[in-house]
Amino acid sequence: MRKNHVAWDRLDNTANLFPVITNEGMSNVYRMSVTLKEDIDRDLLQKAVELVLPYFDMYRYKLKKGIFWYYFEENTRPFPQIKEETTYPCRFINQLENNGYLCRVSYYKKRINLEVFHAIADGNGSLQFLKEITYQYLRLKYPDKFTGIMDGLSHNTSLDREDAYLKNYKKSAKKPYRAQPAVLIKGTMLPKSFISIMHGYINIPEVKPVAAKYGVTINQYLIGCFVWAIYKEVLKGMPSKKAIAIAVPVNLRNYFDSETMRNFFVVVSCSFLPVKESYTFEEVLSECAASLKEQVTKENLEKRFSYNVANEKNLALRMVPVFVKDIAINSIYWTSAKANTSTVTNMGVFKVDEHYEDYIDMFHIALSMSKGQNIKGAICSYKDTLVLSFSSAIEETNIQKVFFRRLAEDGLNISIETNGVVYE
Amino acid sequence: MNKCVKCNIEVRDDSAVCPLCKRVLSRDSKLDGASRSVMYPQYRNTVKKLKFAKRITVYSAIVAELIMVLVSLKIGLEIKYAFLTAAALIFGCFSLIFCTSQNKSLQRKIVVELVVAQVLIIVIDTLFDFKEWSIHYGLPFVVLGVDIAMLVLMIVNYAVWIEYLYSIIWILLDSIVCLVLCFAFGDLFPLYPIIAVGVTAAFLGGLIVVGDKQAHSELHRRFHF
Repeated sequence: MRKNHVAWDRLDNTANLFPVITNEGMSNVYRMSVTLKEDIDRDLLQKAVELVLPYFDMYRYKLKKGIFWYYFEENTRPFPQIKEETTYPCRFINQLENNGYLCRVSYYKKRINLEVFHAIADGNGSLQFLKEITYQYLRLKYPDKFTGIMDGLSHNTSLDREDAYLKNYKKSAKKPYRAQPAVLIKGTMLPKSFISIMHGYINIPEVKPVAAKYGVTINQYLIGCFVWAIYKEVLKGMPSKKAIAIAVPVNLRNYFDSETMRNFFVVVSCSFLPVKESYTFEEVLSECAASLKEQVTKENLEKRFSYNVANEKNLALRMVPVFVKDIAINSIYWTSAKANTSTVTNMGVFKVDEHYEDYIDMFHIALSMSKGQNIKGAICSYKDTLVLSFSSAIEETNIQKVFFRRLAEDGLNISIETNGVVYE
Repeated sequence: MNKCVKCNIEVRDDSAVCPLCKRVLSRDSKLDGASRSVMYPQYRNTVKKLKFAKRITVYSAIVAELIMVLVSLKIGLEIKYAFLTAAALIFGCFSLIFCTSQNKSLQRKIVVELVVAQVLIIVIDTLFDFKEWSIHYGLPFVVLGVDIAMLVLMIVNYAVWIEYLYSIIWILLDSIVCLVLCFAFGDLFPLYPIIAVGVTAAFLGGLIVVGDKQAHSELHRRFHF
């Protein structure tokens, strides 16, 4: 029998954007995958997901449209049948074909893929869900080896689903940043919903001293190399009136007291404006590092999300019907979409429970494409390996080529792997 | 792993050329075969049959309309008949594209089709000297038809019947607009539009009464601001 009270929840501040701008060509779905050391058993994976899912409310929601806002509502339908991967990563999640769920689990050989619509959670939230699915899968697969470990979630997992933006915002009067058009990466577009993935594997003990040699962090070094590749390939090393701007999502959990599973990040922009005739790699890197350092401060991050939250809390704006909001959000998004050349997200070092370490080989992340950004990068590390994954909507790989050659020039051993689209 | 001597990188997947510069890779005989991984599947290129059918239909509609215009001119038929067929073809094509869309719910399709069908009725009436039959009879009967369709769907999908409440609100708003149109054209007691508003309002009211807490909860969610 259907319950009288259906659980529901409001979307967080960032999530409000995604239902409006999402379509088949711009899915706003990201993929996190874990590679085990042996092939995946589909039935056990299905069972593992069904056992873990009841703990994670956010991943059981469906998205609905109200008069004034979108909202999440509890989904009582069963989780869809898990299938082997046959299509491109990060494809649009059609709720009607997915039993209303906003996430998708698939597998291929040794890899478990979790694809999530960004409205429900950011990468940090989804990582916990993926880890719990993997732990549960391993417990089902090897009941004898995990006799001392009870089914259920690990003690490191947080199920907090507070709206951390609302909790941490401070009244802010004016917009803390102004969007300017940035250099755009253009090329021969792949067909709609095709996505080219290229993973680059870097040894962390090797890259640490290289970054230290330049006096920057690993993240700044990799973003600097990416900016350098765009400067050399798109601008051909020439001056430009438009800056190369890389959107860098910053995890706010490191700056504010929250362990929410929902979205809690803001995007800062690593900007490099080439005004003189030519720049050396060191100069580009130094400008990028300074740009990032200047912006990643608690005060600045707070200002960035507080302005948006203040708008959300404005009574007059709240009473505007959702279809008018949709038009306004869409127009603002399309105007500001060209303010970034690309996005590079760094999820940092992934750690897993020591009991399961021996069974897990690797983690990967892939981002979907968005308006104006034809190449995006995602970084994550596990044990001694850092994986930088480029998602691309264009056929050409010139930027990736300059990027990886730059790393190789610095003495790093690079190995790469693709999803085959570059060879088609 | 195979190596690209130009890019100075190793390639893990099973490829003979470098994905970056397309140069032929040098084979490492010591590691050949064993270490190469196939991390991704061969993607299936799904044939978009439905999209193809849609394109053919739209193209056929355009050709049909052009023929209609030519025939009208040839046999001296009033041009309004060409407009009539154009309106009907546009409605048909829109319905085909919208109703076969896989990411729109059935309720949404019905409500949107209701509005588009009403527009078509007004267009037809306007083409034939606007005798107001559209607003007095056409629009209210379409509303009543949709009310019946919603009732049938609610019975069929009784497990999620409460989700239809939101659509009935939109149908009620639509019927009120029809009534206002009649008043605007000087009819002070338009019988069928009043019946359409009354039936839809009674339907909505009945759902709220029967639904009780469930209905209140649904309305609370839909109207939260």
